[in-house]
Amino acid sequence: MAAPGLVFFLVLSYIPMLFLIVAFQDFKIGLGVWGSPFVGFENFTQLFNDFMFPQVLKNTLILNLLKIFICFPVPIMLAICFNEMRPSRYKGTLQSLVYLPHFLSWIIIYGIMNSLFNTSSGLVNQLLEALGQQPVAFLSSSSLYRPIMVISEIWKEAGWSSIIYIAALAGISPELYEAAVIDGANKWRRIWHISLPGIRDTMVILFVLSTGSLLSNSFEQVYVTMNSAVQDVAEIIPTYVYDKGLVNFKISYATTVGLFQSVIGCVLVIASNMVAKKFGGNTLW
Amino acid sequence: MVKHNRPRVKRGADEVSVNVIANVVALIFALVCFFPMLRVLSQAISGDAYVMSGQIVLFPKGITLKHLEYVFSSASFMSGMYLSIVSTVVYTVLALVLTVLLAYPLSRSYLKGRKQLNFFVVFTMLFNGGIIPTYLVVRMLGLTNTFMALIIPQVISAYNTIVLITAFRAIPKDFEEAAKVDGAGNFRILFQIMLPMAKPTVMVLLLWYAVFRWNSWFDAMMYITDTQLRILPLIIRNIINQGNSALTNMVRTNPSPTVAVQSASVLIAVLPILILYPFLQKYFVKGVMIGGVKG
Repeated sequence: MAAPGLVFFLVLSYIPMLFLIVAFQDFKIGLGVWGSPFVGFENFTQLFNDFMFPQVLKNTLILNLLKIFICFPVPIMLAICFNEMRPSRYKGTLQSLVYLPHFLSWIIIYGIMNSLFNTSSGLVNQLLEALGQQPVAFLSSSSLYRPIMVISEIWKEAGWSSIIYIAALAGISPELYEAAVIDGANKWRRIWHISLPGIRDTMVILFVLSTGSLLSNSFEQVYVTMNSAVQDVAEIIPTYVYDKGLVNFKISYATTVGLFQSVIGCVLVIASNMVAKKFGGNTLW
Repeated sequence: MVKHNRPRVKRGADEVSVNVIANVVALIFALVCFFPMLRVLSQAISGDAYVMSGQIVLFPKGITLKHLEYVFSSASFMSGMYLSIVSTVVYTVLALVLTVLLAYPLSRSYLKGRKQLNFFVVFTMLFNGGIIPTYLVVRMLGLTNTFMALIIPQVISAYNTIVLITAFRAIPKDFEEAAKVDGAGNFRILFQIMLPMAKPTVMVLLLWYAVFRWNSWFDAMMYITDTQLRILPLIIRNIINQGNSALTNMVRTNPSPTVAVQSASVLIAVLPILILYPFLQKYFVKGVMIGGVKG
C-alpha cells in the first residue's frame, strides 16, 4: 500500500541528494550524472573566488535577518491583541481579513504592489502627487527594495502566523490570570508576566525554525519582484542558484552554491536549537 | 477563543486602555490587509475613463465587467486558466490518494520497520538535494515540458503525510480490531473505517494541496518552457510586467487600460480562493492547530 509513496520519496528526494555529487563534477548534459568527469573541489574554489558571491551572500543575510527580527514579533503582538478582544462577529471578521493574504501567491501580491506603487498609476504615487510631491519609483529603487520586502512579508504572513500564538494563548490556564488579579497585578503586568511567558515555547520553536531558512528563504518573493534596477541588492542565494543553473546552465556550479546553502542551513538549525536548549526552552529535538 | 471566567471586578483604567489599544491595532491591521485588495477589485471593475484618469482610490466608479470580459477573451489566458484548473484537480486527487496510502501503513504499530520508514519520510523535510539536482531527476524522468511536470515532482508532501499519520494514530485500535474479527481486509478498513474517522484532517490536506497547486508557479517555470503549457500565475506575471501585449489571440478589439487589465487578471486568479474562503476558513485554521500539536 505504501509502495507508491515510498518510491516517490526515493526518486524525488533521495536520488536528488545522491545527485549532489554533481557539485564535485564538471557536469555535461550529454554525459549525464554517471558520465561526467570528477573535478574534486574545483567548483568550491570557484565559489570562493566568485566576485559576485560575497554580495549575494550579504544580500541574503541582510534580507532574512531583517525579516527575522522585524517580522517575528508582529504576529505575537497581533495575537495578544486578538486575545484581549471579546469574542464577536466583528472580531471574527477582522481575523478572517488578516489571515487572507496568506492564501495569495507572490505573483498576485506583486500585482497588488504594482497597483499601489506603480510610478504612473499607483495609489501611493497618486497620494504623493496630490500632496505636490514627485512620484517615487518604489519598485525599482535599491534603497527601498528591502523595506518593501519586509513590509510585504508582514502583510502576507503576520496574520496567518498569529493563529498559532492565539492557540497557545488560549491554552494558558485562566487560574493564572485570576491569581494575578488577586495579587493586584494590573492588565499590563498580566500580559507581561503571564501571557508572554505562556507562549514562550511556541516562540522558541518558531524562532529556531526561522533560523534554518536564513539562506533559503524569500525565493519566490525576490524572484517575482527583482528587476535590473534593484538586482544589486535583491539577488539572493536561491535566485542566484536558479540563474546560474537553469538560465546559464552551469549545472555543477549552481549545485555547489545550492549545497553550500543547505549545509549552512542545517548547521544553523542545529546551532540555534542548541542555544535554545541551553536557555531551557522547548526545542525541536 | 476561550472565554476566561475572571472574578467580577470593576474594569480599571489598565483594562480599558489595553482593550482600546487591542481593538485599534487589530482594526488597523485588518484594514491594511483589506484596502490593497479592495483597490485591485475596484480597478478591475471600474469604467475606462475613471481608471485612466486615476480617479479610483479605493472604491469602484462606473462599474463595468468589460475588463474581465476583455481578459477572458484572450485564448492564451483561457488556456492558462484551463491548465491551472485541470492540474489543480488532478494534482489534489492524486496527492491525496498517495498520501492516504502512505500514511495508513506508517501509522500502524504492528508494521515492521515502521520507525525506519517514518524517518525515511521525515528526513526529506530536514535535508534535500536542492533545485538543480531535483531538476536533473525530473529531466531524466522525461517529465520536462509535459503536463505531468505539474503533478509528479511534488505530489506528496512529507509534512502532510506526518499530519495524517498523527490523525490515524489517534483513532482507537478497537475499531480496527473489531473490523478484522469481522474479516475486513486492509483496504476495506482504511476506506470504510479509518478515512471517515479522520475526515477533518483529510479535508485539511485536500485544501492545502489544492491551494498549493493553484498558487504554485515556480516548478512550472523550471520544468516547462513550452509557452503552450503556461499556467495562470505565469501568464499573470507577464501581464503585470508587459501590460496588454502579454495577452495574445484576442477576440475583442477594444482594449481596456493596462492597469484595469492587470487588476482584472489578478482578480480572476484570486476569485476561486475568495469565493471558497469563508467556507474553508475553519478547516485552514484547524489545520494549523493540527500541525501545531505535532510541533
